[in-house]
Amino acid sequence: MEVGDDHEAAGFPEAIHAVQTDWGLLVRIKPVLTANSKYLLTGSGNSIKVFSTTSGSLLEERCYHDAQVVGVISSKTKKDQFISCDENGLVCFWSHQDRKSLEKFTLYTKEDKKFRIASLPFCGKGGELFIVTQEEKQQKGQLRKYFYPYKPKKFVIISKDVPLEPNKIAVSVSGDHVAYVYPEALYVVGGHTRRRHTVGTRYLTCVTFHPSQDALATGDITGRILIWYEIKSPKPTKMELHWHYLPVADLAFSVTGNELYSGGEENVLVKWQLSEEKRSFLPRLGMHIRFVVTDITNTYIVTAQKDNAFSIISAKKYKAEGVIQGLAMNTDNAEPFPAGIAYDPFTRAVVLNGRTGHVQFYDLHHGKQLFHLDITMSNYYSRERYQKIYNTDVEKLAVSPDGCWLATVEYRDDHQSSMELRLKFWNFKKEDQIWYLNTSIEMPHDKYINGITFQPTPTPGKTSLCITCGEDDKFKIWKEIDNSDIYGKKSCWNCCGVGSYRHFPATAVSISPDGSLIAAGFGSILTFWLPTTCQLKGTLSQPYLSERIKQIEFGRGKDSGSLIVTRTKNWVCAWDLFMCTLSWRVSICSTCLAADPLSSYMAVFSESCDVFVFEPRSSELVSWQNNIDVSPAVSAVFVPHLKKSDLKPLWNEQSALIYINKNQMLKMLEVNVDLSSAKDTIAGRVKQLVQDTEAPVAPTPFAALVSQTCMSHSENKTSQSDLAAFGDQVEKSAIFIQEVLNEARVYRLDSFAHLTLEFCKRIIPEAVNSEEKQENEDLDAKLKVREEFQRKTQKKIFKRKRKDLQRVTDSDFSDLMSVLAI
Amino acid sequence: MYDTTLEKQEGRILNICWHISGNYIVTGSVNYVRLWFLKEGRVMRYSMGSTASKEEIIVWCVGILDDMTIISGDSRGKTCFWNAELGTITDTVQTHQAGVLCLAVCSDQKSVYVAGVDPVIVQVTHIETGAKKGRKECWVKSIQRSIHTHDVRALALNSDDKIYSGGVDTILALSYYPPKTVIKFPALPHPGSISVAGEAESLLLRYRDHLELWRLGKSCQDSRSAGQFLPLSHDRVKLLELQAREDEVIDWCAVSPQALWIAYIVKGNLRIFQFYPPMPGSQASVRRVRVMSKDIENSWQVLWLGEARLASAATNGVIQVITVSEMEASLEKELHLKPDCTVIQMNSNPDGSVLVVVDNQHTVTAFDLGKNNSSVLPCYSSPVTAIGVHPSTRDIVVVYADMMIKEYSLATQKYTDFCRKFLHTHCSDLTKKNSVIHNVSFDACHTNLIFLHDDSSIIVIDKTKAIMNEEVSKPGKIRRNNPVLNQSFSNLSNSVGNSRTTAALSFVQRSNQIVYFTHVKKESLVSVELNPLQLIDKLPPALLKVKKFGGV
Repeated sequence: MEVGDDHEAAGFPEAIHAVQTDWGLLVRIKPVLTANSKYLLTGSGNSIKVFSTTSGSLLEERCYHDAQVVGVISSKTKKDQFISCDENGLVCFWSHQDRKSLEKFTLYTKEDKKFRIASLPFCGKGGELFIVTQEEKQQKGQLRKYFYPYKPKKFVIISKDVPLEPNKIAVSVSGDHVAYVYPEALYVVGGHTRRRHTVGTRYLTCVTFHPSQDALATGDITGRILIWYEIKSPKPTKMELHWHYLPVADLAFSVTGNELYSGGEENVLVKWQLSEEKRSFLPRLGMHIRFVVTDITNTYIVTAQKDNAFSIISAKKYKAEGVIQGLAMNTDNAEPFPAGIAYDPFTRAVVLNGRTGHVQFYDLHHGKQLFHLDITMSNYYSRERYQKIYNTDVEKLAVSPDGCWLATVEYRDDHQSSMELRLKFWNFKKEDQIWYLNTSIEMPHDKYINGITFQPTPTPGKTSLCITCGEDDKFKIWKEIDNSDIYGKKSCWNCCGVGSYRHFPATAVSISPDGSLIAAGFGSILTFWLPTTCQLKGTLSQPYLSERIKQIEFGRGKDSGSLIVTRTKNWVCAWDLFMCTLSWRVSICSTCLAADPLSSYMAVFSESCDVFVFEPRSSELVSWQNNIDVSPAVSAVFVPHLKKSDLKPLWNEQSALIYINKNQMLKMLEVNVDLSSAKDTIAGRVKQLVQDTEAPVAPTPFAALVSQTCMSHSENKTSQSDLAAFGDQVEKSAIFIQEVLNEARVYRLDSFAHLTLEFCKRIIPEAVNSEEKQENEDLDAKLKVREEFQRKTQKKIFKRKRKDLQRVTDSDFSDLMSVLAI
Repeated sequence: MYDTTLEKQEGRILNICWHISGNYIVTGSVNYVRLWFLKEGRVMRYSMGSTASKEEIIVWCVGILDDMTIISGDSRGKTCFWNAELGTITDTVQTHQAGVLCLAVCSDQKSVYVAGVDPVIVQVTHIETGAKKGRKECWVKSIQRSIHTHDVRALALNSDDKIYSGGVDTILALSYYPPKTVIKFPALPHPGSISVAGEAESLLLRYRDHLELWRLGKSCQDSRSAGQFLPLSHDRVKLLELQAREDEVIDWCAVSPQALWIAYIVKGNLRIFQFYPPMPGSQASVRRVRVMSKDIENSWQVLWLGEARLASAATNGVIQVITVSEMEASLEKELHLKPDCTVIQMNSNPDGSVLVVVDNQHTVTAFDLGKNNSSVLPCYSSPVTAIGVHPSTRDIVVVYADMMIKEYSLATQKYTDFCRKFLHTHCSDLTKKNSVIHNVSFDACHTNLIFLHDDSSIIVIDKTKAIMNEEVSKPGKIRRNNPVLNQSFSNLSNSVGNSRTTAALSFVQRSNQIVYFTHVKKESLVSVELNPLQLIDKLPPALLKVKKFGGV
């Protein structure tokens, strides 16, 4: 592509940066619970994230480090002090309550930079730090013990061949014994003795120490847990606990040491009561358990799941209390997120694959997952010991432009039994705020479905058409039809047209914005069809373009309306529909193409992580940026901005460009952003995300609103003024609140009825009062001047209030949504 | 010698155990464990639970450690540890799902093995826990072993803490760790239950209340290629079923080589029958020899020495040689062993001229009945498991429990050269086997062969090979498809079982348990085998096992 003169005149190229919009991988290291069990701390990326265990929301982000955080542990020396460590050797001591207190200490001087910190397993009572360092490209680490006061050279090496994984090494509570596991043996190092206990072919996977006794527990690949008593003796007594059939991923003792918790790929948390040989199970925790963490008050057990979620489990009731969910990782597929990204205009969230068999609605603007929608509605099958079991997963999805319909394609093929293919249409009921399954079609195509799309702008009064295209050489048009009977009004989706062309596989399909023309790619040939009759109107092909068409997008806007853009593996082509010719083509090894529904711009991402923005009318680039990321984009979508900003360049004015890369990070492209703030490089910064109150009410936006209303209410009382305007605005705010509540999904409120009562007590009497006052006010003209004054002040209050409401709505109600929908 | 009678207590005593000092006895009975002070003559009673509840707690097994810790296993599947002085339970471990029937204490007094109706053998170990909050001692369930399918009734430990376990599933198992080892010994066949009439190609089988005489099947086809099952030209025929009297149990049976005489023992009484095999035109019939000489003592083992003559091991330790005619049985002579010796095993050559006897002091005595003299074989440390006399050379082959084979020449009164040169050195393969030889037999046609069998394999020793091998001086090398050997016993060649041949020794591995194996006549051999599945069918149902998901 060539760069036009006019772009350079406009100060081109502007730097485009990819900013991560999700929380990142939360479950990389073991999380830690605070002493009062109210907060969960985990290291994710370069920051430490603090979550509330009661509400499950992200409270703050602590950016002390500028490298990957490898360990967060609680300090044994000071109450409420935590220690975090990053790859580069920076250790931070900080307090959860007191944001000011921060001590830093670097483990090594600049000369020996060849070390990397692998993990931070333990901190002793006297402040000794156990740290695993890894030399470059070494598979084994070095366990060092640093003494207080910390100095780079003040350490002893305990062992020179410890494993690097965080749960394969454990330190006893007293700090005088260290145990670590290699597949074939358990090593116990204490004082000057080092004992090796072999286990044969039952390879060990994890180890943990008993909190009070001289005992430890190990898990192995056959799912057996061994408790080793008398570890100081050369022949420890072993006790066997065996229920798991897949490898034990992690083990944790309760604070008293009477219970042991274990988890693995079965998605089941098992509680072993050691004295009584009893076990209890907590099944269906979502995904494979990676870590199990207990707290010192025996309030919660936290399990970290592979799909980037934490389950908060009440230890007393042994019941799941809540979930902290980041962007759900798509773990089962070789290619992550096969369904790509779609935009849901209702919730202003992006819709994409999540946990196996689910789709997730992820709110970009607040950077959190709203909810999961179970598409396949089946239990997750964990693998067998020597055989993988395939689960049905969502392979394609599309959201209708009005956000009322969601179409999903689920697919399962284990190459043994017959293939499963299902097309489902889901309807969003605004009254209930729930997605309902409307139609489920078994085997809509005979083979794999290559694409699914909705008509971009619906014909007034009708729902959009949906088109699928499959490997069975057909595309099918689906239409909502009336299916009402005596029991009520119903509708369902039916196939109303099939098209095929010369036995080529239908590889991509698109429908023009006005719904008058369907473009379908059959192999390398672009064909045009009438949706009503399925009549072939024309074909476009070039002999040298022999690659399969992967994506088709209709151009929009004044000059691009007649153009259609296709993407193949190595080419991006624009075809002119009036002239029936190839308008232009550009060679680019692309991974995905996105078209802005609100403007004429399109963006294409290349294998080498470059992004190019263009308009279909010419091959000239509007903007571009090389190497925006380390891994190529898998799918991209334009998402309308919440707030219009004049500062943004023309192509980015209407919509933001969102993409997800192969490393499963959701990113947004931003032009000319201040990188220092975006990349959280300011060390020591604490990003307060949600107002965290010590009040018994959960820190939800509703609670904030109530307290705000309380305050203004009392202000008004002291001013002894007329309350008409206030009443008006209360009504308005009530409407606003109504909106909030309509959309809100309360994550974990105590009782909805209770809150409503609370709300009514505060708001409704005031509204009635204000009506009476309004009548009086008409009679009394003397107070007119005063009233004028009052109104002004009320307006001010109103403005402030609205601002607050705006802030509240902007900030947090999305997590409420996620739960109400379930 | 009678010493004292202890005070009478209520209820059954199910198990009893001595303290190492000899001053105390622990007994287990329903709901109680009792400690008997032998010096004072008093009894201390420890209650298992409240007697008010109707559920009886049966204490199946008890044990006592040197430090006066009493161990009890009960019908709830719990193993309890008691402080004998205080009479309190210090630890209770739920080791099993069902009753604990037996226990064994390790030599270090730190761990106990328990097993029972739930056949898992569980080790309960004494541990010290608590790193800083003071020592705490307790017993925990440690490693468990699943060896048996049915109730384990008995456990025993040897000095290196290897455990022997046995129970309803008829298997005796030896297990130890490290390295993790389990050796299973199937139940031995009861002696005197199978007797072979070689000349008549018949087999006498003893059942509880009757005898069956079968004529074995024959194949007229010659076996040219090795490793094939031959088609039978004559099927096996049941010649006779001889019922004992009602409520009589047959202890022993024997048949003469030509199957003309049958003898069996009921409660020590010898019954002798003459058998008339079926002839063309006449049915098979049997006639009892009614007149028995008064001199014939009660016996518990008989052996036919050729026709019409039998040796009987009398209960008083004398061997009586009895001559039988159609009408009567009379004592021919008495053979005497050393005083205080009783007969364990007897064998003779087919014509009955040599009788070899193994007594309970593991001495082997050979009686030459023709010459009326006897000779005692050299002593050996291990017990004798099988013995045989060669039909033509009259050499005696003795197999000991440590798998040592000895060949003794009666003529020279010495071990043979073959024994000295070969058997002493080259039977290392045999000693590796965890089993013993049950029977020795010979082939009159191929005088160089010795047939042995143990629980799972048939072993053939070829003397000619052994001598050849000596010249090559490469013992133990495996040679396949040895033509001479395969020819000589084609009906149990490669396809019949896995055959393994080291120069002089060849092994035929069988999946079934071999109960009896011997030479019959000419080129045929008989092997009586038992399918282990058949055995399981006869056993009572095992305790239903709870499915343990991933666990084993």
